[in-house]
Amino acid sequence: MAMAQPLTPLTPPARTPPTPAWLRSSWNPLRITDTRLHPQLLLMAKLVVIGLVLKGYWHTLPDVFAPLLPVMDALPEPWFYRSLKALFAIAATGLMFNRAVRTNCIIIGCVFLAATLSSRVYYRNAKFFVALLFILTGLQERGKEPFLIWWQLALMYFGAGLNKLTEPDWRSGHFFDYYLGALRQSDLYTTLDPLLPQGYLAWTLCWSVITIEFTAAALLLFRRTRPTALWLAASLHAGAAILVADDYGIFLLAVLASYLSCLHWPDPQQAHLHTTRPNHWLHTYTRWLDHDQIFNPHPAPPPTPPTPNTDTDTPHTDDHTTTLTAHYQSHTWHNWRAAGACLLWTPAPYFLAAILLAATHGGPTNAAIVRSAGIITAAILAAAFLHTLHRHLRRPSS
Amino acid sequence: MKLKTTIGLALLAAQLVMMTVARFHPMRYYSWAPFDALHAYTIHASLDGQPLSSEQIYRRYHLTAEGFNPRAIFQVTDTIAYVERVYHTAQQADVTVTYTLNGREQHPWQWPNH
Repeated sequence: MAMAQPLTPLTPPARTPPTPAWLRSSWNPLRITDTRLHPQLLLMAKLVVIGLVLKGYWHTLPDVFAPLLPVMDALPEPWFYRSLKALFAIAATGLMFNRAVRTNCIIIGCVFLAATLSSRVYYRNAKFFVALLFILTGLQERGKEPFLIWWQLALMYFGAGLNKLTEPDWRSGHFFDYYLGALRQSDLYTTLDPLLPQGYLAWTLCWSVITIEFTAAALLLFRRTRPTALWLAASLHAGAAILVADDYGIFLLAVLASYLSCLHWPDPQQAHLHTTRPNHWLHTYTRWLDHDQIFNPHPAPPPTPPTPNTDTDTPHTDDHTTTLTAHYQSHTWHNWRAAGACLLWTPAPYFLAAILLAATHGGPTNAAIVRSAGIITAAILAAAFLHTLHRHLRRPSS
Repeated sequence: MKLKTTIGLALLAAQLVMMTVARFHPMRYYSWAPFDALHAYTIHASLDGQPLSSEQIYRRYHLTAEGFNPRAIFQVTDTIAYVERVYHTAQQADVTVTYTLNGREQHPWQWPNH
């Protein structure tokens, strides 16, 4: 008779503590969908960090000198500057690698806010804008729309418009005549100005800027009109980039990046990509650069009939032509518009654009890059305008 | 409303206050006045009757002796006034800032007689 073996007491499995949220996210800097921030906000923050580093802003953080808050004079001299620099380095690295993204945004924002408060000489509007952008991103609540950033943009354009309106030289047009004509000697301005009645071009430019800033500020407050607001504001910056060829330090990059806050970003695997050719370059592109796996690739085009939201560029049925279709929710795009959707929802093109824009500062190379960026932006805005106009004209009247 | 949103709204409200103050005061900090008024300026300073060189002016005020401010000349004059008022109370400096607004006629600003 077999001896009954004494039962070994069952030890309960060791309970592993849950991994904190800030450790669960991916370390891949090209990923943006894996954190507690909206992907478009994280992308925006990463782009501005790239700009700040490449333009050397973290090297030029100030020590306390003639501070706007006199109490800051009591801060120890080299340590304030060193602390700001160290905090920025740690927070920026953490942000790029998706660690504690909201906390790191607040730290970067506070670094730049403290820097502007610590020195009257250091203060610039662009640095203040960067500080606000990061702080408001860090204060973003989960699952809520980033309305604080939209309101910040509206407030900035309203403030800028109001200040210009109170300046007599802006109302008379003298400002642009002096700035573009005498000071900058803009070749485009000096060519166009003699073709028009005396002072007409400068007056038109001044009042166009004031009108656009007020209009953009008002339209940014409403969901339906927000795309129009962004179109207007981007036109303003594209025009300035072409005419002046200056990015105003980090400002141009930061303000353009902030427009990403208005973009809707799909969840992973929610956008679908179909091509008639399995080795289409977009499949290679998404395989290498779509680290968030936003796109779900398919080998053949979907057998879906055109929907009201389908664009007009319908695919060719010719056997010799590769067709490309992308669809997300109720929207479908074909061919080059489908490729556009792929580029729109992968961070890599944004990183590349930010690096190009921020890699140079001052000098003819920077001017050429800024002007080229202005021309490309103007072309994209013109195409968007024509596309919208075409859709409205095609819409059947009720 | 959560605390985070309240802090964000307070930041926006603070900017509205600064924008209002800027309508009654030459100060333009935190009030969104980017590249709206172009000031070309020159700083002349002397200490106990001895004129300061450009390098000495830069070391004292962290400002170039000849420069350009695209926001408000108040940023320049306010810095000089703060430096003299807070950092160098024992010294008697005479400072003149000559500036133009958008290429128009020159204006002088003086310390300590301003």
